[in-house]
Amino acid sequence: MPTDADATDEALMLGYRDGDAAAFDLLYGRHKGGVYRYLLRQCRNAALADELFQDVWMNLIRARAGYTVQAKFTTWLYRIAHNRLIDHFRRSDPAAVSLDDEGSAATFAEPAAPRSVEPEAGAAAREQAAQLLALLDGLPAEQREAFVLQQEGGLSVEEIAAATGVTRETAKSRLRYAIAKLRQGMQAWR
Amino acid sequence: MAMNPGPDMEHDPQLAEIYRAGAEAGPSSALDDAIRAAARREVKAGPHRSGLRRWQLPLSLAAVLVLSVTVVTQMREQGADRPEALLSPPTEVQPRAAEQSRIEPVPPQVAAVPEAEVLRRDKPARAPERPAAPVIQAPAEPPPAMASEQKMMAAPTESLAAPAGAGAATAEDATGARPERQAPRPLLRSAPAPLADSPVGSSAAAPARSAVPAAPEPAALWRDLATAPPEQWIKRIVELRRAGKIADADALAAEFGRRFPDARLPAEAR
Repeated sequence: MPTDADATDEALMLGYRDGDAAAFDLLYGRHKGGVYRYLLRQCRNAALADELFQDVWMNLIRARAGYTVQAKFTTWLYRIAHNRLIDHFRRSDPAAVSLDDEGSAATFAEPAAPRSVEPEAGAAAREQAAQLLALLDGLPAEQREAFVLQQEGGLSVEEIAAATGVTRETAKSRLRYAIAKLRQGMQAWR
Repeated sequence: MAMNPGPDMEHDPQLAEIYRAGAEAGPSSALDDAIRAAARREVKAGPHRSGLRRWQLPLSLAAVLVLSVTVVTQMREQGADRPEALLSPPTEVQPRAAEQSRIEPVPPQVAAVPEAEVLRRDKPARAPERPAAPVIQAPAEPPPAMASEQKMMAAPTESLAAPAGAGAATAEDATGARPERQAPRPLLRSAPAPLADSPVGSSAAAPARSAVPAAPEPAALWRDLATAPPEQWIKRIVELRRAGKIADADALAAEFGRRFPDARLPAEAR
């Protein structure tokens, strides 16, 4: 049973499928933060993020018996999370769910005004991060999702496309728009 | 801060670094514990439940398939029988049942008893129960497939025939004689048509067959002998016996005995 820390995600998931609870602990430890923040960035509500986060992992737990390695584990995991989010948005406000970015592609978030620069470097870094997150919040959901999936899950363009159920070109376009807007917004911090 | 506007439009290391600096949010430890506990529970219950789940779909499909095949087979079987069994017979049964109720008052057994005629006049609807057995034996034995068909037909035949004997039904129900009468009645529908169509007195086969069409009313046997002397009665009885109409001869002999109690029938008339 591959319960060592060097085991791949897929090997750990296979181990968990075959009854190794420790493999799940390792897997969960690796990805809990990324999945949680992905959900939090998308729903922007900590309590709701908690609920969705639990659902995502419970779905994974229930699906363990049928798990086979058909894709990268993180792609599968974030696919579950993406589906849970879409499910939530459809139930709460169907009109708010936009699965294509055609209408929002040209929408640039208004860059937040630079806050007062603090003398300490640590404080500056936190300020920068807060600024980036504020910019991120202003992005269209699909572009924000593409960026967060890249940062939190380490997914490539192809994997983002697979996780969100769109073509590679669409995923690439979303990611490019997101990065371009964030860069533009962060220019004020030069 | 210098942002990297390089050619890689899908990746920016500086943005990533800034983002990671602010990526501190995470699930609470309580949530962690709950999820890990759920994962362990699943592992403990795992092999059995996952095995069930694995077979859930194939089993469901198999059940649906078996059910479908069974239903289709049954429908096909019933569909093959239906035209004769359910549709045409009731239309035939109704007149037959009514016919039977008209014909039945002349059973040979009834005629053999002197008081039978009186009883029959008092209770006209009671007579149908007796000839049922002889009439049933008359038609050819149905093949096994027909037997089940006839069972299916029992209810409609009974309900259709019921009005004919409805007057006496309540009294007979109390005696418990009804079940015996009900059982053979379904077969009445398969009685061959010639039974009703045959000319009066022409059949010399079974007693029931000869009696039923020959004398709808027993009194017809001796209607023309009402004022005749005993010798003429004896002559008619002998003729009937020679012609093989034993039931008619017996009925006439019984009436003869009632009308002429002092007279004796010769041996050839008995």
